Amino acid sequence: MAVERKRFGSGILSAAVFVALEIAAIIMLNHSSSLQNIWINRASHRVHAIIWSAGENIRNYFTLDKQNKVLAAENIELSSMVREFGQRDLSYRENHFYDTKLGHFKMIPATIVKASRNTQHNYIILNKGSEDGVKPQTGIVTTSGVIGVVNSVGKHFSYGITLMNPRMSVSARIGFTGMVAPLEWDGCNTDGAIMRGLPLHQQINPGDTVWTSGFSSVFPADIPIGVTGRIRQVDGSTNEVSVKLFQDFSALRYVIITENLDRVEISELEKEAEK
Amino acid sequence: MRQRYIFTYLILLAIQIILGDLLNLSQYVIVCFLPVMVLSLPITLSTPRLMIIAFASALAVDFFTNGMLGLNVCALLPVALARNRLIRLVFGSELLSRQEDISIHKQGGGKVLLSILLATTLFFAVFIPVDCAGTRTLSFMAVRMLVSVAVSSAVSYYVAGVLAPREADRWN
Repeated sequence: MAVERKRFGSGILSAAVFVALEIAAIIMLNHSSSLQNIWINRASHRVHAIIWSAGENIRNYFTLDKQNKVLAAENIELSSMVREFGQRDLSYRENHFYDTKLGHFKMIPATIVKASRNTQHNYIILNKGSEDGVKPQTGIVTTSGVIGVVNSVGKHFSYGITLMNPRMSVSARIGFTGMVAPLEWDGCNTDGAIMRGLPLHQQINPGDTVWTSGFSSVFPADIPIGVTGRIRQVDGSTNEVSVKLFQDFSALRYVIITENLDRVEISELEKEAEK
Repeated sequence: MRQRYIFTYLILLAIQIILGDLLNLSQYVIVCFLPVMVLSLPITLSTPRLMIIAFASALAVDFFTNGMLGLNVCALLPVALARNRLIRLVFGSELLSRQEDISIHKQGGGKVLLSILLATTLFFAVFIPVDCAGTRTLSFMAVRMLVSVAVSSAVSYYVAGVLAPREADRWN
């Protein structure tokens, strides 16, 4: 035991003498040559950096708990800010549609709660219902096109069929002053439609814009729907034009419900004329 | 006996100074037998004393040659610190417990040469990087190290024979 202690003491003494003499040698070397001076200083800075960074790491490790708490608090604050901005963004997007002038139409912004796109009879459910003033047989549009028609209305939600439904047809016009024909879904694509029954003598150019005609009492006029594509003759008597819709149904979230304020008056007039 | 050893040691130190000052064979070759001088110092010396003697010897070489003050000191101190471990590694612990000095005649040339190689390698492992101070490539330093260790070890082997105690002859 005593021998071991003596050996340990001698080891410590040797190490201390070695360190002292080596430091003396380095100091001498440092003063005797500028090249070595630079090299030693560089090495010393590197050692300093390692020591400081290790110290900093240790200090950081012991303050992790505190930092975690700060970060958690910051995270909560940021989350609430994100939610707040999200709400503002939602109301902005909804309210943005009010600014659009679409004639004698009352417009109600809505958000799609549910939508089907993969069947032949697609539908959407909106977050606005009768309590918000939504009525059946009102249009659903966006600034990029026609979406569908409200079919039935609940207190807080509305159910509508979309253009991606064989039961749905929209009166559309090619160009501002062109032909009017019904526009229907092509049955395949989320951004494809067809206009049928176009007279042969009217010239149609691919790339023409297709607008809502405004002839129905559901949709306002002059909403851009899409552009014409391939033209095909059907039975030698009419043309059929494919339309690429501006609004891709697979990327749909915010819509406007359009209610024609003159609709009742127009209906009464129609009924009277039929008599 | 002791006086003769000290005298021989000082003469060898003077030769090392002259060699260091005058002998410039090539930038790849450094001839230095300071490690073997430390290795051959009496085994009874404690490590701190050994380091002080090494310090003084190397400082004298640094001072009287055109070299940088502290360069040999810097390189020789690790040899002095590691001497006993090196002896234990090459010759075994018996040499230390018997307190026998290193001798080619008694321990054999192979073992002595191995200890010289290790000590010289340790010396140049510090000496060459410090001397180059980051201005030379690793390949240059490696070649310089190999050549210097080879040349210095060969010279050191002869120096070990000169410094070895006469009474340690194997066949006497």
